[in-house]
Amino acid sequence: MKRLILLGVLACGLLVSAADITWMSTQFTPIAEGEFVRSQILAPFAEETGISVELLNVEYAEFSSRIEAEYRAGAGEIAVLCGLHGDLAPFSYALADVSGVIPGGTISPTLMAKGQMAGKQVYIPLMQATYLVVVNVKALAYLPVGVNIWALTYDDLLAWAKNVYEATGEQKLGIPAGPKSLIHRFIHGYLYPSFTGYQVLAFDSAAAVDMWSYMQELWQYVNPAAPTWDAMDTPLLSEEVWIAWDHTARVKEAIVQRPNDFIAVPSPAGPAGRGFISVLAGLAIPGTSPDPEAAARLITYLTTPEVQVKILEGVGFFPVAEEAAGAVPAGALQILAKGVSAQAASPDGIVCFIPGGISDEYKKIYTDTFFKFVIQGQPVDAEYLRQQATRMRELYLEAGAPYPAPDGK
Amino acid sequence: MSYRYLLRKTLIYMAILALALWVLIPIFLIGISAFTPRQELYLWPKTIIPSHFSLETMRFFLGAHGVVRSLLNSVQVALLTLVFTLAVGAPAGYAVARFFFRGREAFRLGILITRMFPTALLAVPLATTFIRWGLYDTLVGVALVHTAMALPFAVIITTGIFMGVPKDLEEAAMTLGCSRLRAFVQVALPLALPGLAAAAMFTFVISWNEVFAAAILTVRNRTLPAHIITTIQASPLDFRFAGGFFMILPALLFMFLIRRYLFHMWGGATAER
Repeated sequence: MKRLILLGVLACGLLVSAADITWMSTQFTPIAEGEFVRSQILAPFAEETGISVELLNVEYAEFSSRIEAEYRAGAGEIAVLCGLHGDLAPFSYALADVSGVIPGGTISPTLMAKGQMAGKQVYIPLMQATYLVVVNVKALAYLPVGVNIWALTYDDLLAWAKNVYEATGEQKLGIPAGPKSLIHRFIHGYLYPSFTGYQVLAFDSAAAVDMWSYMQELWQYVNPAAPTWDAMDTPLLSEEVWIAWDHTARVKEAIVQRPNDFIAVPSPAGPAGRGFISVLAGLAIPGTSPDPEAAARLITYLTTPEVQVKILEGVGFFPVAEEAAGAVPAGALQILAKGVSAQAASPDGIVCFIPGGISDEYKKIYTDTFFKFVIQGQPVDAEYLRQQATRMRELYLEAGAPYPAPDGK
Repeated sequence: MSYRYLLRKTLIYMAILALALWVLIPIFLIGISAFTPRQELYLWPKTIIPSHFSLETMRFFLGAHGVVRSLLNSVQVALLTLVFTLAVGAPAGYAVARFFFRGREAFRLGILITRMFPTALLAVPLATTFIRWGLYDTLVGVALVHTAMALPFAVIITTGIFMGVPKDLEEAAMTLGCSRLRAFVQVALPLALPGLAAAAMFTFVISWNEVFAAAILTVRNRTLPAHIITTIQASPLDFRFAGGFFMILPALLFMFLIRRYLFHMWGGATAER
């Protein structure tokens, strides 16, 4: 009897048929997202091409071990990969050159360049998230003459906030600086690269001193409740602020509720350029892929505007294909997507990546400096900046981590 | 005298009760949550007993991609591990218990050394080797790794058991015409059955709960823990409870099946000696 059960169980396992190719991903891990990708994106692909794709959701530890093991063995099961830039970049040696793969839509050269390393195209961008500026249309009446809202500078922002303040008597600019806010992202991924050109390397430069002085001036026009705000959707909806910077997911709700009242525009540019953070996920093919052709077809399919829009609707990541921005259904998502792609395509853009592989202490270094100079309004102290810069470099050295873009290039 | 006896009895039973509750309460909570309607899981304050039982969560879990298949895979891997482990572990335990050979103590210690290396450290070389040997993404491959993990325990447990089986009985059998093998199979083995059952239980649970090797060595043929480990951390509460319940259930069932052999150990075999 027992033998029968054992045989039965073994037989069941053998009968289950195998999929054509395997797609290993650190993204789409929540159960709802995984099911969405399988039923809404991979099922139509299988119908269209006859290639059935098995999505394998993994954590980074497994992702990296498996790539390494298959590379060393010179053979593997994984046909195609999906990961954030930071997941894929360390494995450029194990990944095939995908420059021959034709994306299904037009991907801006700025984004494509992020996937180029070790002399080859290591990945093709798939989707992105970012932080940008959301504006209540009421504020447009106070925009300084001659300023292009799609190409703001930090000086424009200051003049604009000043205009609004002088006309209404209220500080209508919002930057989230609450305990759970993403203010550290604003400092290291937006202010620093825009003013100094680097996230880390110019922490105590003369340009950084100018930057902190600028922030002290700007802060006069920032709503005084800013240090209590973690996300900007609520203050935007209550109209406590008209102009706000935050993560797309943290302003989305305001636009969803009142799509006619808001627009999303790129973050401002500073003397060095338009620094912004790109949370970028890409598609790669391992050198050991058992079916590179099918993998390439999947990449082409996933980067078509239609699929890119589906990903936005189901998973909340924004398209990288330029045509997709226009194909997003009217309403909140379209407003946000327009801002996201305008920012990504900025000619003066400095794309920044989130630091990886070091302790979270780096966030504290940025926010401590911010609180000292901006919230408490203490005079900008070059010596203090130098100390903080030293500690910051130590963090990277201790961990042996590379500097994030743009510093690392 | 009877007062002290009563006090002792009470204390023993209270200790047993505390231990039982310590094990049973989490199982009870996971079990009941897995059958609670989804909305009620998020209510505050929490109710221990749901207003009604619902199969909604379980249906969602079982309907999710790959769950049933990985469940079957897990059962197969655990059973294969069991067979491999007992096939190698029981004779090894017998040998250590019965024969005096050079380096016996070193061997007993050496068995434990295999437990010293963290699997995470071995992951990449292991996977590389398995790819080369064609064992990658096969259930037999996973079972082999689980066998390596379970063997030290199996050998140690069975050694203890075979030491407890009087050598005289086997020798008596051999004087009556049994070969060494037959004496082992017909006399020593039945007496060692309870210990083997305990070793089997241990092996089954080790294999059932193991995540890392299973995750790294399989691509499509995943075991249940490997399949749900990533998903479950990024999923809603109801899915976690359903997953937790399914991780517990088969191990519990297996223990109930094998329970009578354990009772045999405490009842029959010891009394006969």
